Amino acid sequence: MEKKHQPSRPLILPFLLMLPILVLLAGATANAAAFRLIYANDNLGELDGCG
Amino acid sequence: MGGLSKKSFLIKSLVNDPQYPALVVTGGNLLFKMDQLEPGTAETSKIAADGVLQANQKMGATFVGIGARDLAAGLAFLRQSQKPPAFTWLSLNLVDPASHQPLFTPILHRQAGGVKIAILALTDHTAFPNEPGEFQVVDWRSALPEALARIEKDVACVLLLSNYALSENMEIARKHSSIDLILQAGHAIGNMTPTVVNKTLIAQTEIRGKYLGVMDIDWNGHGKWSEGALSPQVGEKDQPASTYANRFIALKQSLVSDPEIEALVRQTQRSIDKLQHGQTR
Repeated sequence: MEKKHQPSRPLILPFLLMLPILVLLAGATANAAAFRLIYANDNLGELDGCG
Repeated sequence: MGGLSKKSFLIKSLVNDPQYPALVVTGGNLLFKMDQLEPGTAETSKIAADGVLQANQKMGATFVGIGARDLAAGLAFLRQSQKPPAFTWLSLNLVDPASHQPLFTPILHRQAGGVKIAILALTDHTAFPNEPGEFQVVDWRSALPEALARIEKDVACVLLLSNYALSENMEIARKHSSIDLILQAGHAIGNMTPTVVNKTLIAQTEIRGKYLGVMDIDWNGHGKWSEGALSPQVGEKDQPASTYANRFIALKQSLVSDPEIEALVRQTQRSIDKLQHGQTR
C-alpha cells in the first residue's frame, strides 16, 4: 500500500497559534532583571552541621 | 568533616551562573547556640564563633543580620569583625541606650543583576529584658517606618533580614508593603517554603547549617510575586509579576568539600581541643 503524503499545513498551525504567547513571554523575560539569593540562617556556631 | 566546607563548595558553584548574578545572604544567629554564654564554655564558644565567621566570610558573606544570639559574647565581640565594606554587621534597631542611634550599620546597599537592593536587619527586641545595659533593642514598630521612608524612593528592591517570629514578620509585611523580601532567623520552623504576604515574600532555611536556600528571581519591579516561570498577564496592562524559583539544598556528607574551609574548620577544632585539654589538666 502506498502511503499518502500528509499536508504540511496542519503541522505549522500549532506553532503559529503559540507565536503570540512566545512573543509575550520573550518580552517579559527581556524586561526582567535576574538575580539569585543564596541564603541561610541560624548557623548557631555550628562548625560541622550537615543535612 | 562537615557542613561549612560543603556549603562553601556549593556556594562557589552557585555564584558562577552567568544567568543569575548572586548575592550571598546570611541571616542572624550565626555565631552562638544560646542567648548567653555558659561560664564553662564561653572561650571555646568564642573560638568556634570566630571560625564560623571566618569561614562564612571566605565563602562570600559580606554582611550578616544580627540575631539575639549573636550578642551572647557582648558588643565587643561583634565590633572586632565590623569592617565595612568588606564585612558588615547589620541591625536597624540595636541602638545605643543614650543616643538611640544604631550601634551597627542600619541599612546596606548592594546590586545584583543590575537591581539596586537595600538590605535592612531587625534584631528581636522581645529576646532581651528591658533593663539598662550596653545596648538597647527597640521595637520594630519604632525603628522600621523611618528607615523605609528614607530608602523606598531610591532602591528597586528592599530585603529585610528579620530575627522576629513568623507572626511578627507577617504583621511587618502587612503594614509595610514596600518590603519585597523577608528572610527569617531565630525561630526554628525548618525549611519554610516561600510565602507571599501582601507584597512580601517570606522564607527561611532549617537551622544549624544543614541546608542552603537558593532563590532565583526574575525581577519585574516592586509589587506582585509569582512562583515559577514568567507569567505575563495576557490581555492586561498591569506590570508583570516578579517571579521566583526556590530550592533548599541539603548539605549532605556526600557533597564535595572546599579544602580551604575544611582546613580552617580543622584548625578551629584543634584550638578548641587544645583549650579543653588545658582546662582539664
